[in-house]
Amino acid sequence: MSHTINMLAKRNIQKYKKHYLIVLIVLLIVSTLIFSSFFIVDNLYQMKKNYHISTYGSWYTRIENIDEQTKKGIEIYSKDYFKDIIKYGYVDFQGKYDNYQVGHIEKNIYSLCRVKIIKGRKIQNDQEILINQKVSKKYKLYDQIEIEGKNYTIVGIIQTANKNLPDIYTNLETYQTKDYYSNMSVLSDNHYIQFNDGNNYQEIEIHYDYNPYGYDQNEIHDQVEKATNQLQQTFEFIIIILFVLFALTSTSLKKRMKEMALYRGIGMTTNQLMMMVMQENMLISFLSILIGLLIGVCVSLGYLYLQSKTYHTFIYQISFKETLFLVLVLMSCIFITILIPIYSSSKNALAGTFDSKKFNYIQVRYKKLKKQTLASLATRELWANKRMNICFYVFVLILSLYGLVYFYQGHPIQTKDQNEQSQVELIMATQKEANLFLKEFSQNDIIINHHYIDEGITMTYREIPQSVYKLCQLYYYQSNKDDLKGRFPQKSHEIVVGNHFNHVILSKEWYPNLKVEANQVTFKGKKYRVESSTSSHNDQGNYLGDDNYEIALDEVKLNEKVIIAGEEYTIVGINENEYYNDSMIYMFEDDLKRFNTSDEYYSGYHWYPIKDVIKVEKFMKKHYKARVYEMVTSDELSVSLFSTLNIPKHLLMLALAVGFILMMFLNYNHIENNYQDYLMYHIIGLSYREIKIKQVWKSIKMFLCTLIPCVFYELILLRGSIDHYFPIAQLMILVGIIFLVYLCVYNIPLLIVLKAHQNEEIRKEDN
Amino acid sequence: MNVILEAKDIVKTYGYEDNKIYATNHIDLQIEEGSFVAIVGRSGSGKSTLLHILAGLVKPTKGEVYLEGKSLYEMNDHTLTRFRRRRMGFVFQFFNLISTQNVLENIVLPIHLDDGEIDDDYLNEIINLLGLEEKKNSFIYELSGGQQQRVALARALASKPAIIFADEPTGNLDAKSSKEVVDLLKIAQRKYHETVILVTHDQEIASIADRVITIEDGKIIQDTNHI
Repeated sequence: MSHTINMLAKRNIQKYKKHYLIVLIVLLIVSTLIFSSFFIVDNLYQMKKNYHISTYGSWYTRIENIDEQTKKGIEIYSKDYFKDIIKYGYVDFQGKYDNYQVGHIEKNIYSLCRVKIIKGRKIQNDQEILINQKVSKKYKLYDQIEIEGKNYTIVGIIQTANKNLPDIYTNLETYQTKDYYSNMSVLSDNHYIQFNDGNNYQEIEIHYDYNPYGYDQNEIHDQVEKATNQLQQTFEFIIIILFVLFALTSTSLKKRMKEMALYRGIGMTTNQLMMMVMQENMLISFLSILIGLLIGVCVSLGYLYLQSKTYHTFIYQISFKETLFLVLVLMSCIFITILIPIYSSSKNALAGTFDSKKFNYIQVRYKKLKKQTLASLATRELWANKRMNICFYVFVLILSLYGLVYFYQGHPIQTKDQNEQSQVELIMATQKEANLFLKEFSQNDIIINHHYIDEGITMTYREIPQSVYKLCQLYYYQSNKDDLKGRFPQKSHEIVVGNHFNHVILSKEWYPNLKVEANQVTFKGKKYRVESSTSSHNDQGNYLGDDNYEIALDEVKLNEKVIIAGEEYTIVGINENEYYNDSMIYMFEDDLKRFNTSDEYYSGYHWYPIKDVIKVEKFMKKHYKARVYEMVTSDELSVSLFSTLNIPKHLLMLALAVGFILMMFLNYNHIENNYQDYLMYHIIGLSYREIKIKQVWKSIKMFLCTLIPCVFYELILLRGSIDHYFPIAQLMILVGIIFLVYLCVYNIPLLIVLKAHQNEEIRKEDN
Repeated sequence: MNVILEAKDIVKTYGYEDNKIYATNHIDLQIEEGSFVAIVGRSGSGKSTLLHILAGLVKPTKGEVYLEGKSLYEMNDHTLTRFRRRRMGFVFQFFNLISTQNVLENIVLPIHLDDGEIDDDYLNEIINLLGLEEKKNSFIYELSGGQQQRVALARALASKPAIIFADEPTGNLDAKSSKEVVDLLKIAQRKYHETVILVTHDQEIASIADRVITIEDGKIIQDTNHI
């Protein structure tokens, strides 16, 4: 029997090849998108990572991971943890031996540090050391060498993951004494640790910036995020297919009703019928997913090959398990979606065909008959083909709601948690306003900066052109006088600068020939360590590489000259307690007047819960001329309705386009199959114009049905918002688009069909 | 003779209240084994509805149908379907055959669906009887209307049913083919002692039946036995 069902299913696929071809193409497109994006995301991430590691020796700057062997976690940033870092981390002692870097390693973290022993063994006591391949050219295994007056035996030769690691390793565990950890203090963020070994203070530099482990600090977090993104994307694609598939299957089965009734009549049970139709559909689905998988592999391979030129590395790995899982998820989603129409058609095949008089009789209720208008005819037609129309409706409604929400993106009312903090910043306020601000919103953590701001002033320091960030009146020099090295200016053209004044940003834009390798910049024949770098991305968000490098020149010296806006100034004082890298320049008020600065301005900021931000902003606008800026950016906000379904814009457009074409096609199919009804209308007395108007009524009714929930949703949005933000122009565009979509979907197919069949009639008359 | 099919007080209505229409209005009917019964009536008289109810395709609003003593509408859908494919054969006016199957496959489909054994001798016999041996492997679209109805008849006979329901089997055929099909129905009835219920609006075709039941407005107005 199952053989018979199989055979019937296969023959039916041939019979309905047009329908199944469409299903195949739709599923093919979507599965290709799913699989290619799935493979691309995964491998591109790895490629970026490898590129970064090979270029900069690190993948992100901080480490936080678990050693595979010891299962010990490594953490940074907190003072309390430094002890553990030294114990388990890699510490560069800045020691040098014969021009080799000397470091220390704890025996349990070899794998974590990506240190691989290629010859010899691990260190077992503090008399033993490891060397890398570079050093092994000079020394052999079991050679004795002397470092800082102490003898060591080379017990192993190692291979390391990147160039930044030391060349020689001593045993960390036995080398360090406990006292080392007891008196530690952090000098600046996380770069240096000062410790007391009993006699002297020493500084250890911890190279967090150059993560020797090659790990991403937040790898786990990133992987979860990546997986979530992938899942989201997949989910969105799947939702699209399901709508389309549901509509396609429903209309096709409706057409096959009589055939299905015949099967039932000659003795097929409901289950057998369902099995047959299900087999047809699942066969096609499986086939298209399989082909989609193959095309997805090709597409992703091509894309990654092109990307590999940017990243100088090519990775292509496919996880069999994940792919299989995805295929299974897709198949089960498709199964569930088509189950509903298949079940209902199979169950109602008999009654729907043989008992169809029911419908005719119900319609003849003369007493209750209403006057038929074009509008009511439209409603009746919509209702008669409700499955397809409901699919259209749901599709357009979801997109409309998303569109509605999309316009609100970036506005505080969209924030998920209204108690989240947001910054209110006072910019360019007068002194009076600043005092008011302090008085009104007085908080301990409020900071008021007094300075002149003028963008576009350039200066030349040590023959390097830079832009000036902050100019300030000497009057506002607030730091402790003990922090001032040198003296206060006594006459015009003398200035005080911050201790980061020697920090210079080299941009590839200005210095295209800048040589950067392994975190070192060669500038004017001298090598500098890169203090920080900023990466740039193209419009599509693709990583292009780091191109702004901040380097520290030699220390700022007193009496050095700086040319600011063409005039020479002398540095007479250095503020040693400057927090920021973009150092302030303090000068006399008379000097400041030469620059194109406006009045004295104040700025300050304070964090408020988001729900208060707009209140504060309004208050500020009312009382101050100052501009108030709140820090809410669209990145931090999620859209409340679709917070888990954050569809990217291009995907939305794609869905809209595909959906639109499909709706047109489905409706065309429907009208083409029922064109006799339309001709019948014409015969019984509707002009073609009236038939078209009737069709426009359909669009209007669908449009109104869509608009009502949208208006409700809009009201909910407005009600929940603090500010009654109402982007009228954008909303009108959205409403217009919705109407246009319905207008096209219902009318263009009709016009095509009518035109085709009108000609047919004329031809017949000619004959 | 034994009564093979019995219908008791069959009522099928459509619509509600004032607009209620009786497709069959309290029909009682007994059909004897091996008889050839024609149900005639004008279009919309309820004859097709009656046939569908008798064959278990449409559930009546009220009443019961017993085939070989078993109540059709007390069975669940699955049992009824199984019962139908074993004990009943069908010939309809339209949409009679599965277009994706060839002639032979169409004929044995009900048996295959039932996982039944095919009686080769019997099958050859009916194929010969119906003159289909040359068309055995043809597809449906290659056949004329008359040939298609013969295939449908062969399918109806293949499972050796107790009763064959024919719903206007000649409605779509020319006079010659119509006669051919009806004659074959008659031959099948005689040869295999089948009970045949035929619905037609054509009095001439009805005239070859043993018994003619005339229906109007859902009621039996005449029941003539020709034997």
